[in-house]
Amino acid sequence: MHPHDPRRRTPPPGPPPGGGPYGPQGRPAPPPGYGPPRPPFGGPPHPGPQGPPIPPPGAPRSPYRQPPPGPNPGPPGFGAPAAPYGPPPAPPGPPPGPPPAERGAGRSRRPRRALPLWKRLHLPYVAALAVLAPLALGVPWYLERRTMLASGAMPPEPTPVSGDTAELAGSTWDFRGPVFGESGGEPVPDGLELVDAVFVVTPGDDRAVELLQASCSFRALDDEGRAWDPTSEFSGRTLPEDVGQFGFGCFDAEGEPLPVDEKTGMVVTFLVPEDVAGELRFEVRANTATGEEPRPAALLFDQPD
Amino acid sequence: MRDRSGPRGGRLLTAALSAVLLALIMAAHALIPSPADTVGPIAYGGAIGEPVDAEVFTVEVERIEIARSAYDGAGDAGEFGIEGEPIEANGVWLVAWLTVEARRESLPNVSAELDAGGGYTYSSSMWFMNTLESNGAPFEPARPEYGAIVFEVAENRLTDPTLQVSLNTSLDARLSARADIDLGLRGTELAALVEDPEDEVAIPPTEMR
Repeated sequence: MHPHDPRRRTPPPGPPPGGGPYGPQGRPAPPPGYGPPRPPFGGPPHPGPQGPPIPPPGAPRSPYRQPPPGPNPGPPGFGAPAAPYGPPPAPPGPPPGPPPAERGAGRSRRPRRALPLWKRLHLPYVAALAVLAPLALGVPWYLERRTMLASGAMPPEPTPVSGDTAELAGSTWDFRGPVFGESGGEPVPDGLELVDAVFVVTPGDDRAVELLQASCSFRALDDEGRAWDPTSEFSGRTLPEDVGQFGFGCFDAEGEPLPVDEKTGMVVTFLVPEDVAGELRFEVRANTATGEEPRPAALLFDQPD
Repeated sequence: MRDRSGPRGGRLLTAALSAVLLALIMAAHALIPSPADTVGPIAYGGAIGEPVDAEVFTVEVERIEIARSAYDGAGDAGEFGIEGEPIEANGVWLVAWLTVEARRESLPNVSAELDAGGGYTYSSSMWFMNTLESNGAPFEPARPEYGAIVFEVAENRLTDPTLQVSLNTSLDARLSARADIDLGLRGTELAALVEDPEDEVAIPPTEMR
């Protein structure tokens, strides 16, 4: 309050009065309030009327005001945001009178002036958006991907196998390595290589046998991620006895379900470009469940060194 | 911006902007594709004589023949091969010679259509055993296959033919890649071909290129 008295008397410095800026804030009509801070505006008019009313209601607020008034120079800070309002508040004279009474009610407005930068930029909303937007995109993506992986609409990501033996859907798969160029005397087309991948599969229980009957497929992948399916060319060759059959599922040599806990050999033939034959990796894919969500899974075997 | 000109003006402006926004939203809704379109094949354009990259496969149409009759030829097998009987077209046979290559994985299914122009579309003919569709699959990476795709078309329906070739992992063509190859046949050039078709075209088995 102390600052008010002296300044009131001094019309020109109008802007100063800590009371000037605060009083106005409380008012519903911004004009008067903003005007004061500006040197050019109603320095004189405001002080007069405001001066007296302020003290009573202001007393309780003093804590808030205190900080700003002291640094009267501070007004520039406040003034800055208010700048745009400055001009319109031309009619400063009359309004000042009533405002004081309303100040109590207008209190809620005061914070506006004092809003810290982070509030003015709505940082809480920005922060919330930064968290929620990725979630809004990520959660549906994740759920859809999970559903599609479960249904088999999306191929499973193969699990690289270290070594040559791994478990898949209750069966043990043992990769014995590739055999190159055993075409049985038939010519292999120029630029291509015949590759036989040899596996031994041992179903652990009846369920594993059932799963292999329903699904069992192979692919050969090169370093670029290109994939070849098994070829039926050269299927006339004589293979070792008791080699299992595969198509939509894996079966034994007679086309019967694989025997539980017994080893069955699988020879899977690929016809691939010569230059990738040495780098091929072999994928075994099988369902890990029955029903509408077969949850296919895959193993990826490297060629042994 | 805080408009202090008055609440009424502000409200009018808000209402007008809302109306505009609403109109824009409705217009945007009209742009939503039908369910069939959203899962339709994804087309990649190109022209005859150049490789067309359809991302999961590439295709290059070498040439087009138009003939009254066609048959399955023996090709390299010569006299030991099997030849089919010549088949006369109702209209003409349009035979496209092309090379197809899968780029990433085996694509066992191929399907082709001919957009003849003027709103007419023809399915490929299944009369022959040696076409790419019957004989070429599966298409494997790094193993280009060369062969023919045959259409039986009415002469007067050919105006601006485009060949649409699609290779799939399954029979489901939804969201599959499709190459749309402009055959470059129009006007007098097309008229000359159609008016004076070849008598007979042999279709040998597909071969690896």
